[in-house]
Amino acid sequence: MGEEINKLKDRVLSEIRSGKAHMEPRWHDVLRGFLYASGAVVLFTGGVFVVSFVHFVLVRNGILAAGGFGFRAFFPVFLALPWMMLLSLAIFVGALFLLVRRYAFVYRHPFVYGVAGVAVFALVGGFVFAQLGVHERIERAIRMGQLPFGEGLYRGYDAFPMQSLYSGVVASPVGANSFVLQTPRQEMLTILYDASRSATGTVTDFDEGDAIMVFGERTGSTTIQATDIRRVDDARFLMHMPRGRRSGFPRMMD
Amino acid sequence: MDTHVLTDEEVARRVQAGDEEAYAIIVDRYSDKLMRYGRRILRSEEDAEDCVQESFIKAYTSIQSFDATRRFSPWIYRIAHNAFVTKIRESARFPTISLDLDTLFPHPIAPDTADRVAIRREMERRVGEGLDTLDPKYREPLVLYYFDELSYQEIADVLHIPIATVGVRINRAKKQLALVT
Repeated sequence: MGEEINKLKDRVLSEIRSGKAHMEPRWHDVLRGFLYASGAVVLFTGGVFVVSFVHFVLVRNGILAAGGFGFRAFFPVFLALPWMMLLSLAIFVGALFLLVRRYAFVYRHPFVYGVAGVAVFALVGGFVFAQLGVHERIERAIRMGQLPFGEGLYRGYDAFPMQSLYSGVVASPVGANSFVLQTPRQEMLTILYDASRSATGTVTDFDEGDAIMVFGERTGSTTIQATDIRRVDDARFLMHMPRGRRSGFPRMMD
Repeated sequence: MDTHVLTDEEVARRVQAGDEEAYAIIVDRYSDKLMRYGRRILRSEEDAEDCVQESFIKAYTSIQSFDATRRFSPWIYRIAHNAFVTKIRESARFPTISLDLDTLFPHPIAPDTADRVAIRREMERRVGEGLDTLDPKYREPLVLYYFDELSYQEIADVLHIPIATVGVRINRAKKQLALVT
């Protein structure tokens, strides 16, 4: 046994002494580390961008505001989620996790902690980035023809239609049982509502020119029977609304 | 200078500085250990020898990537582990596990305490006798813990698995051994 071990040692050392095995220079390791770090930064940046874009789409299309309608809006909201973007977010998070799992601070902990940690970093970064209003500025630049790229992405999610949920600006005086809603696609919808029903109790909270969301069913080609109506004051939601008096829109007028 | 008083990390630093003869000390110190590890995992003298030789060459070529502020033994064991896993995949003696439920969720960490000497010796005897009966994923942490005397954290660094998973696997391996020995 000892002889076998000695032969092994001799073979290893002779490979080294003969130059067949040679030490990789330090810069190889530095370059490898740099490439890994660059990959991680690229993936993290991509993840942050996607999170902030998803946030932008959710606010912009009123999906977040639709949460005020409660559980009955769950399925319309679920169907309206930007699934392709969420899938790409999952891919970014997965790829980033695979890249960083070679480091002790990741592999020493359970897999779920690692994935959750990476996801939390991307989410926090994305929400922070979303507050900078970068997507709103890009979208405005695209709308004004100042950017030659990105139209497919930004306009693709513009005023995304949602089942049972309608957004727009009140385009007529609010009557006792109806008013006209102008949608971002310039559609004029007649909204019928029953002011005596508690579900539409918020109806008095808005006026002509306000941006609102309506939950209800389409009963005619341009008629919606509303079961609930909510005013939306988020300036980012209002950005793509038709022009007019838009309450809650003091900051981001272009 | 008496090379026996140098730590592994100091020797590695010398090799990094260009003293290729110092690598003989590393080979000298780790040949037995890695061969023992290889034999127990691969169950073949010839395969173990090939893999250990390959591991020493790989360790030498990439020694500049070793961080001499950390312990040397988990680093070289990791290289050997990779060589063994590659050999196992090539020979496909048993399926490799790509997704391991043990690593997914947190587990309470089993204490990494040194068992009392008598208990430890008894376990070493049992491990020696029943190693063949164990699933490979349990065999490796057990060998590293009882025969190579690595800590849970060092084993985690060799196998790239959570520290808690090392404890879980060692405990499960002990239970399996208790049934067969």
